[in-house]
Amino acid sequence: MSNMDSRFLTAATFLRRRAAWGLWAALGLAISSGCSTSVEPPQFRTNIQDILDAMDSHSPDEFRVTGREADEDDKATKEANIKKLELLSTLTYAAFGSPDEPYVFPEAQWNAEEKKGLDLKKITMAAGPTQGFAKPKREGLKKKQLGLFRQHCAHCHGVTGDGAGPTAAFLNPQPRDYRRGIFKFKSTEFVAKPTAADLKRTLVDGIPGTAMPSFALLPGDEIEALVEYVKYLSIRGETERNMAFDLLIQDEEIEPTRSAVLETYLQPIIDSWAEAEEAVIRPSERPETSTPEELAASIEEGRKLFFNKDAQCTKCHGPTGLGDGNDGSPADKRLFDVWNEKKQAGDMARWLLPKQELRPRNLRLGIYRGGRRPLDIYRRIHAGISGTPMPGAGPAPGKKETFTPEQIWRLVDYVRSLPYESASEPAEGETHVAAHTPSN
Amino acid sequence: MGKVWSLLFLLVPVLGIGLFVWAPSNGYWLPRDISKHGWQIDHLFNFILVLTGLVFAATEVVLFWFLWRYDAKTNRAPVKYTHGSHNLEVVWTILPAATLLFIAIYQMNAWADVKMRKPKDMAPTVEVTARQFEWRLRYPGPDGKLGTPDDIHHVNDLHIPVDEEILVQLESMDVLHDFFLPNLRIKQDAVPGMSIPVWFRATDVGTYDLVCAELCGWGHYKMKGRLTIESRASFDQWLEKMGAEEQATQEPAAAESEDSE
Repeated sequence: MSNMDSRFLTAATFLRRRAAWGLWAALGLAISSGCSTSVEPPQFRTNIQDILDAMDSHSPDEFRVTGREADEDDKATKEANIKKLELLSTLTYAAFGSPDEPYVFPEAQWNAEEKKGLDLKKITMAAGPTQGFAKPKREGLKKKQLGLFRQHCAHCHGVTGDGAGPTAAFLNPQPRDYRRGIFKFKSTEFVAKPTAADLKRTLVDGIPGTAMPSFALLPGDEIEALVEYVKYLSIRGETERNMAFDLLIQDEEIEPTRSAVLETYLQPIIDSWAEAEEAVIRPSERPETSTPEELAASIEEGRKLFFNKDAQCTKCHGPTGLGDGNDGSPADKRLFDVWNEKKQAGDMARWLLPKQELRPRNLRLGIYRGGRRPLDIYRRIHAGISGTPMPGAGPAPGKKETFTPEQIWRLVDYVRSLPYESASEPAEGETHVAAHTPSN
Repeated sequence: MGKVWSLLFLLVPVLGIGLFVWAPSNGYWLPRDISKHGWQIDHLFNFILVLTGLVFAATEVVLFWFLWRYDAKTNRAPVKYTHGSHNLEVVWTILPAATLLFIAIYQMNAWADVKMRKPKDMAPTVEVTARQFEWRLRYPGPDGKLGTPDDIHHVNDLHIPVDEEILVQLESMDVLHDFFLPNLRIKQDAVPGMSIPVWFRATDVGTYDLVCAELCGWGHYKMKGRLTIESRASFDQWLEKMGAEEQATQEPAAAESEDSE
C-alpha cells in the first residue's frame, strides 16, 4: 500500500493491523448462536397452582426452600410432598405421555359403538413439533405428526393447555385453561361437558370479541384432530388435578397401577365427556314472530322479562344492557370467572397469569362470543355460562326454572334487538335501522 | 486482479436480467389476473420494468466499462482532474425528471379507475371489517340493506358473484390492515375510523387468496382469507344457506348426524 501517512490509516490497514481476527470471530460467534441441534422437547407443566391454593391451611413453604431453620417435621413433610409430586408426574406421564409422544390407555381409546374415549390417531396427528418450512407429507397419516396444536394453538393456550402460553399475558379475555374440563360456549347444560361439535364450532367460527381466531380455512381432518387434542388435554388436566387433590390434600394413596388410575380417575371423566351428547339443550319450538307486529310484541315482552326480579338480568347487564349493572363497589361485588376467582393478590408469583376481572357483556354491541344464532342465545340464557357468574334461567337438575321456554324465546328476541336500538332513548316497541353497527 | 472485479460487477446485470428473463416461463411471475381492470396494473408494471431495466442495463454496462478501462494495474496514464460539466449535469437531471413526470401522468388513469371512479348508486355487496387476525364479513340480508337484523355474518370465507360489478365497504375494527386480493389486483388499506369503498369485477370463477398487506401484529403473516368467485345462482344459494343457518332456532339436522361419530 502506498502513502502510509500515519494520520490517514485506511480501512484496509486497520483491518490488517488491529485484531481483525477478533471481529471475524465475533461475527462468526453471533451467527452461530442461532445454530443449535439439541433442543429440549417441551414437556407438560404440572398444575401446581390449584394444589397450592387448596393447601392454604398448610404452609406454602413446604414446596419452597426457606431461609429459616426448618424443623424435622417440616422437612419430613416437604420430602413426603415432593415424593407425592413425583408420583403424580409419573402417573400422569404413564397415562397420557408427553407433548411429542401422546398416549392413551387402550381402555380409554375411542370406541365407535359406545361413542366414548379418545381417538389416539387424531391426537397423534395434532401432537408433535411444528413442521416449520417443511411441507409435511400427508399421505398415510397413521403415525404422522403434523404439529397442529403447537403451530396453531400453543402460543396462547400453552403446550399443556393451561391457557398460559407466551402470548396469553397480553390478552383480555385470557385463553381457555382446559385443565378443569369447564368450557364456556357449548350447547349442553351448565354442568355438562361440551360435545365434539361444540369444540369444532368454536374452532371454525372463532370467538368474536376475543383473540380466538376462526380456523375455518383448515382442512376438515385437521380441525377434527385439533378438537380431539383439546379434549385430550382437558381430560389429562382434569385427571391430574383430581389425582393431585387426593394425593396431596386428602393424603390418600394411589396405587401406581393402570387399573387404579383408570377406574378411579380416568374413566369417570371419559364417561362424562361421552354423556355430553345427552345434555345438549334442544329448545322447544320458537313462537311465531314472522310479522313485524308479532316481533315487536315479542321484544316488548322480552324487555319486561329482562327487568324481572327473579332473574335479575339488570343486576349485571344494567338497565340498558350495556354491562354496567355491577358498578364494582363495594369490592366484594366484583365478578370473576372460575379460573380467576381463587387468585389472591398476595400470591401472584404462584399464578401463571394476572388476575383478570370479568365484565358483564355489553349486549348492545352485536358481538356474541358464543354464537349469534337465536339458538345460541337461547342456550346462554337457558343454561348460563359455565365457569362464570352468568346463571341459567331454564330448568336444571335440582333447580326450579326461572323462565319458561317461551319466555326465554321472548328474551332472545329482546337481546337480539338491542344492537339496533338506541341506548339513550329506547324506543317503545319500535326498532331503528342501525346506520352503522360495529359488525361482529 | 482489478479486471476480475470488473467482470464480477458485470455479473450483476447479467445474472439480474437473466433471472427476469427466466422467471416468467417458470412460474415465478405475477399471479393470475382474473379482473376486468387488472390489465392496467400489469401494463404499468411491465412498462416501468422495461424502462428501468434498460436504464439499469445501460448504467451497469457503463460502470463495467469504467472499471475495466481504467483499472489501476493496466492504466498508467496520469489522472486528469475536472471541475465537472455543467451541461452533463443539466442533461442527467432533466432526462430522469422528464421520465418520472411522464410516468406520473401516464398512470393517472389507472389510479383513477381503481380509487376514484366509484360506481354510482350502488349498494355494497359486502362489508369487510378487518380485525386482528381475521376478516369479518357482513352481507346484506334479504332486505338488501346493511345494518339491519337480517344481515348475514361470516368470517374469512369471502364469496363473490362472477361477472358483476362488486362494491366492498372496507373497515377496520382495531389497527391498520390491508385488503389485498392478488388475483384481482386490488389492494386497499383498512383504516380504523374510515369506511373505504373498494370496487372490482371478477371475470372467472375459482378459489383465490385474500391476504393482509399491512403489518398489524404478531398474526399478520397468517391473516388469510379465502376468496371464492362463483356464479350468481351459486352465490345466492350460498348466501341463503348462511342466512338460514344464522337464524337457526334448532340444531341443524345435517350437523347433528355428521358430528355424532
